[in-house]
Amino acid sequence: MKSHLFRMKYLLAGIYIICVLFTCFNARFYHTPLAKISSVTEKETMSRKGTRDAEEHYYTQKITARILNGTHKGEEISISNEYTSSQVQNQKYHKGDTVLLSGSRENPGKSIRSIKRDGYLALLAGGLFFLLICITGKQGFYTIISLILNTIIFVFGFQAFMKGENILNICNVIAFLFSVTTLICLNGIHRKTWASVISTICVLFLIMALFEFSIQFFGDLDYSNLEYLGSMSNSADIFWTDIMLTGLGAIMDVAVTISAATGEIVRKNPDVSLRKLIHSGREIGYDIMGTMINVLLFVLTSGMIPMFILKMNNEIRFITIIRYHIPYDICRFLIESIGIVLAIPVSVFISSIIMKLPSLKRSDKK
Amino acid sequence: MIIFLALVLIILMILIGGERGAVSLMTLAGNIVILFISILLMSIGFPALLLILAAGAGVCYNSLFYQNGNNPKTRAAFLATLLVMLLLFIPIYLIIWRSGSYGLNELQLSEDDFMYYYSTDIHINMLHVAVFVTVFSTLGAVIDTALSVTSSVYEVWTHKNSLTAKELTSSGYQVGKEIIGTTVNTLLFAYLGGSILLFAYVQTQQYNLEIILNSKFLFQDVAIMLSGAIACLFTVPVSIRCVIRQIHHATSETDHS
Repeated sequence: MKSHLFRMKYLLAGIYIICVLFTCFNARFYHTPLAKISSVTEKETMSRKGTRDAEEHYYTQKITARILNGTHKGEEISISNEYTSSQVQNQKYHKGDTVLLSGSRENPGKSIRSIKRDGYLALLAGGLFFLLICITGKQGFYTIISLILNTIIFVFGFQAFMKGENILNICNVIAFLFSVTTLICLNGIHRKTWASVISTICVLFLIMALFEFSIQFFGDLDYSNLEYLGSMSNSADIFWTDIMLTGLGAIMDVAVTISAATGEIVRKNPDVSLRKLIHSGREIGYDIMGTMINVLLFVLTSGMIPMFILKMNNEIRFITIIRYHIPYDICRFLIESIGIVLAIPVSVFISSIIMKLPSLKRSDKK
Repeated sequence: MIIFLALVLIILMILIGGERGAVSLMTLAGNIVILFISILLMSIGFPALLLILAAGAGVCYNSLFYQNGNNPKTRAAFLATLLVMLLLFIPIYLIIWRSGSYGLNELQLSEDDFMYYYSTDIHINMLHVAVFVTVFSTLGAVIDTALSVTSSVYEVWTHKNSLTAKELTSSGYQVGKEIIGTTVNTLLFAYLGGSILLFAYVQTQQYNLEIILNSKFLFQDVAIMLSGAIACLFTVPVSIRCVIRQIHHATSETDHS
């Protein structure tokens, strides 16, 4: 048994390495022209005073690259690239980078479109899957299945949205599907799974009602500063979905933890009273509340840091950014945190009742 | 509206959590303050790589010792978090550097604000800022995992002092298995939810699949999500080691006295 598992790990490691290597050499399947940079020379062209009176240096790179696919395969081209020392807009290229060119297969063009990043994507995603199976075994396998299923559901929902269906209806359906698939994958079909599904949906309903309520009473947010808005007209609806899905994972996390714990207590001591069950459920809830909110804080806020830095160096005051540029992010964070906090009493209550149901029925019969 | 929501959160935390809710609230406020101070420092040109260490240790200290008190569990979790951060710092740096996923992404650059109004000569190395962002976004999840693992292993040990290191390790892995699944899904949903607008925007721009797969806007966010999940996975064995070492430390101390 042990050696079987060991061999399995080697097999997986082999598959992982092959996948990563494949993405390094998949140039022939690309329709976009690719080139590998073989040499780079650079020189400083100018320097000028930037913000905060700091000296900003401008460099020009002369890049020689070999084309990897298309009709010009094997030919060398020379490209020039300009970058600045802070590399906000454009970046420095290094020898050995594979890049996508801006032209077509027949006519590769003379400028770089972006670095080829799919190899790194495969490296990270494969690394995650490999480690999941290595460290958590069978459970990791189910986690991967839940991740894949959720992504598929998301893609389907998104396609339906793009076809013009009402986004709010889709969102309700996929939020339900998300919670059911994730919880079944992670817990199996079990009574505590249904307890966590019901509590997740109740909490979602509560926070969305709260959101709606605060919109009704305090006025809607002004969505015109929302990032990536583009030509979307129904920004309020999209933001609604955004809020609903972002916190779903965290709320499920709380619900699963609490229902698993109450299930365990009932299993060890079937005669525990409902009051005592609720009490110990709450004890567990306090433990995870603070850390879960912190998880969300760091995941949601750290992505905004580069934007903050750029704007603050362009004489936009800190307070202005908070008031006009990121109210959505603050609002999202607050709603999700409220969801986490609410999830504790709701799931303690629901899972206690569901876990105790059979014994209550039995006592009725007696 | 935001003030109203913040008030609701504060009241709920205190109502539901009682005294410990108030402590969590203070920890949260402390972390937000640390985050703001580090943003301010970075924007006046303080080196971001140094800040990772300082602010990271500050956040760990705040969320572990202030929230949960100074005991072997939190000491082990603190050690484990710092170790995981140091361990993952180099691969994160390398991947971000080689994949060039720092600075503004393609979509942000095509917005009018950045094309015409803002000066981008800010003399701050965006590579270092991107490393800071990635390490920091994993921090919350790592602390969460580390604390769950160390506290449950420690609980098991206090109930049954005779357990060997091997048995403790296997019980630690058992706990790790149970929390990793939901943590990974938490990260996935946080990413999916936040990216709906991005996906809708990309769809209207008619990019082809190759460009999307290799683009910076996809990679930046996905890399944050994946490295967060990987960091959590690394945390499980590291924090088991740390807590067992702490337990040995505690037992040898009591033996001496």
